[in-house]
Amino acid sequence: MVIVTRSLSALACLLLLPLAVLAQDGQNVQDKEKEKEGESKGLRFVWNRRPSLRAGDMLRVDFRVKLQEDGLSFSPKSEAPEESFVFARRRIGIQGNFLKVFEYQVERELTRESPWRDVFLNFRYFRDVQLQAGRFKVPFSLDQLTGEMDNDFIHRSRIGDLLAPGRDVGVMAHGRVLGRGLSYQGGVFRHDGDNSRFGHNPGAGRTVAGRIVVTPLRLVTKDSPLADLETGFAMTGGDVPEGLNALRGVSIWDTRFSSDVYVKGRRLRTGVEENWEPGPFSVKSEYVRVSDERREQGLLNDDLPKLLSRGWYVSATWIVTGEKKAGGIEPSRPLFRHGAGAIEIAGRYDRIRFGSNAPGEEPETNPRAVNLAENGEGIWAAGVNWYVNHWVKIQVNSMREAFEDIDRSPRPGRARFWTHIVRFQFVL
Amino acid sequence: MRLRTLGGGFVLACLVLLNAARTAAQSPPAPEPPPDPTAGFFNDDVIQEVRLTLNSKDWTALKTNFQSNTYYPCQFTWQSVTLKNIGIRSRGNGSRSGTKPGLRVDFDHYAPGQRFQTVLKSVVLRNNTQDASMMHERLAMKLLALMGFPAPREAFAKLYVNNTYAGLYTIVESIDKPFLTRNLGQNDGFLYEYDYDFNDEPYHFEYRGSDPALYSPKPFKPSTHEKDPDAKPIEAMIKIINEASDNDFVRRMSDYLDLKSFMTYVGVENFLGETDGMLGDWAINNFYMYRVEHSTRSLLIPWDRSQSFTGGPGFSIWHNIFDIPAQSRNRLMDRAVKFTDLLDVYLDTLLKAAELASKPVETEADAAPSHTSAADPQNPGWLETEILREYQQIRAIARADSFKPYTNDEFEQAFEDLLKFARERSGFVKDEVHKFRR
Repeated sequence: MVIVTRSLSALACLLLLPLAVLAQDGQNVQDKEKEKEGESKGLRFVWNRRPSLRAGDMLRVDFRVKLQEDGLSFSPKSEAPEESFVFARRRIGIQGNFLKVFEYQVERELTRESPWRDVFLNFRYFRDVQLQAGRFKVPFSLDQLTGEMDNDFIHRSRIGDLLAPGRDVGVMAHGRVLGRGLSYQGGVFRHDGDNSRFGHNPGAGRTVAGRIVVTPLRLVTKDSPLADLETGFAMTGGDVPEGLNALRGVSIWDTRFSSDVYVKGRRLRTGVEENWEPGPFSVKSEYVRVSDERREQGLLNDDLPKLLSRGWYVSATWIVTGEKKAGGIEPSRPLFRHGAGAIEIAGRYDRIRFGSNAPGEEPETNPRAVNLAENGEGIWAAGVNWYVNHWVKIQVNSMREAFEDIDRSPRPGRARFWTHIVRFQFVL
Repeated sequence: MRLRTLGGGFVLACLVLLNAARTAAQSPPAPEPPPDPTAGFFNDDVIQEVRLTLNSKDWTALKTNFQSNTYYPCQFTWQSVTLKNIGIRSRGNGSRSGTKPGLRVDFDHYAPGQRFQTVLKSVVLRNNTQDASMMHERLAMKLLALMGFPAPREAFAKLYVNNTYAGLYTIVESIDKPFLTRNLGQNDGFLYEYDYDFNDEPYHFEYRGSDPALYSPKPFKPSTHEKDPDAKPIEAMIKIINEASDNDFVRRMSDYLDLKSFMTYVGVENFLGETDGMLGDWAINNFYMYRVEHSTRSLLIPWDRSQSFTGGPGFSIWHNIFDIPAQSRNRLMDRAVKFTDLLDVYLDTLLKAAELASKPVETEADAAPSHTSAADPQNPGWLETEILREYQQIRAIARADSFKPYTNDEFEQAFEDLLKFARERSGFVKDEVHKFRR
């Protein structure tokens, strides 16, 4: 009941926010015209869907605000995480460009712990070869690289959340070649991303990462719906220091379901991804495998078989109101502008599993086991996304988690758990 | 409620009687019990040999971080039995050591349900770093068992870590469900470990208030029913200790604790010159309390006897009873000792323990009753005989233990001190009791 009340309050607030924005946006259509007319006329304030400072084409500063508020409900209720209504994200930032060839973004979460998100500078003298430096996402995993505000689901897939690196500090070359038929990213990073570092776990050291995405059929035909089918390959490599520094399995309920494991040596990620967005539909799929060496980690200081963390997902969406999926959904008839916004339905199944490949050995749960007793989970997710207008999105998701090892589930002895979430999102 | 309490009292009385019967020499013939699969492991006629195999960095980390309770994976070998997938950690309070760590071996830490010799969930490998003789613990537990208390079984062991001799340890049976089953025939009651750390405020059974959380998990740390420790009966018992009138005290306490058994417990502790027990110099310490199934009544189980004998043979029988300020006294003992019948139990226990310790051991060749003095070196009493037996058993390997925090001369001196205790203690105690009674 509390959640419902708070949800309605939040909904009201989030709907009022864009009303103010809409008013501003209407007034500033004229500003857009002026912008076109006099690009070199000094510093000006522009409101083009979001507030912006411009000085011709020499400087652009867009002000960004991103808010997400979640209402959570769990089943079974007892011993579950407390049902709550929380701000999932409160971010502010700026982004833009200067001197024609430099792009930048600075984004900060309004929290005390690890507040900085993207903080980078991109040099774009050539479109084919660009250089980016700072803190940004290590190029790996389609799901992880999709912006938090653009996700089809409230929670990323487990592989996107737990196995993909996430953000780190580094430098990267990237660009698009072959008539946009191939895009690439390759860089060196200080570690292997925020998702690998938690508690006392420092993650891997210096990490090299690369990703290519090709649209092979575009080279053959541009008219076929399959022309936009993207296939991607990605890899990262780095060395993990000795310790209980393995990647972890965490449930939607925020409980650990993988055991601590001692690792030492090379961490190698490989990933394959598919993305197809014909018209109002989309189909995505991804497979990720991470291997961690366990040099000298046996009881006799011997080398152990690698820790393998792997998983995959398949997801599909359909915008029932007919808008196009590719390039981001823009409601053709927003709420309060002769319409009700865009409605999308989405479904996904994802799996993740942790273990080691040591057939013939007794599976054990201790952190130096030769054959690590495997555990993993599979999650069904279904949801409805309501794109109210350009700024507001409301998502409703239901997820069913099923654990392989019931002794390491959020409530030992029970295998299946439900989570229901409603999210209100406002992006300026 | 009253019926339930009476029922619990009856069960407890049965349990105590059963245990006493088990220790009695002339028990009637009973059906042969099934062989105890752990008997060989706790056989104290031999020095056991335990081998642990673990990553050398874990062993270094355990010793470096010996104050931490971090578990490390390990392989455990005894005789031809090897168990994998077990956990060990540093343990102890004042005995913790980075040179010769005390160890808790949990057979089921990583593998729930795994048991050693089909029964044991865990054992303790005591490092004996607070006892130069290394014999206090085992001697004291033996006497407590002879006096009818459920006491953990113990045996000396040579410990090898990664095939390197790591010192002389004492294997100590854990106080847990298998222990309760073996000793009491039940294990589903509430077992609490009295958890006193030297940083804690000294506690003497003062009443802290009506909230059970003021008593558990600190200082009564639940060892069973951890998620629902139900400390209300503890709170009620401590309230009676502090607030019941003299007219009501014994009757109301009987719902929670057998006061005669309590007086016996402290009597044995005093005979042993215990300075860190129920009437300890720092506060009450070193015991478990088990509340019998479907009852409010508890019984005491002794733990950690490294400070037994440290009071010496002339340890006053009134130590920490009458010779300290009232606010430092054990509140329960302070009340109980004022009742003549309970005081008599205490004094009788002292005499009984003195008799037991000084009575020469009958051998098959010497079955006739002996009237020889306990102090007669030609015919030593039980305690002295046991000290000599254990000393002969461990002397060579104790001296070879380079990790012990004592020199070999200190080890020999501690042995001499124990002999002196054995030869003088009984006489001293008997004299003090008789002097008081006159």
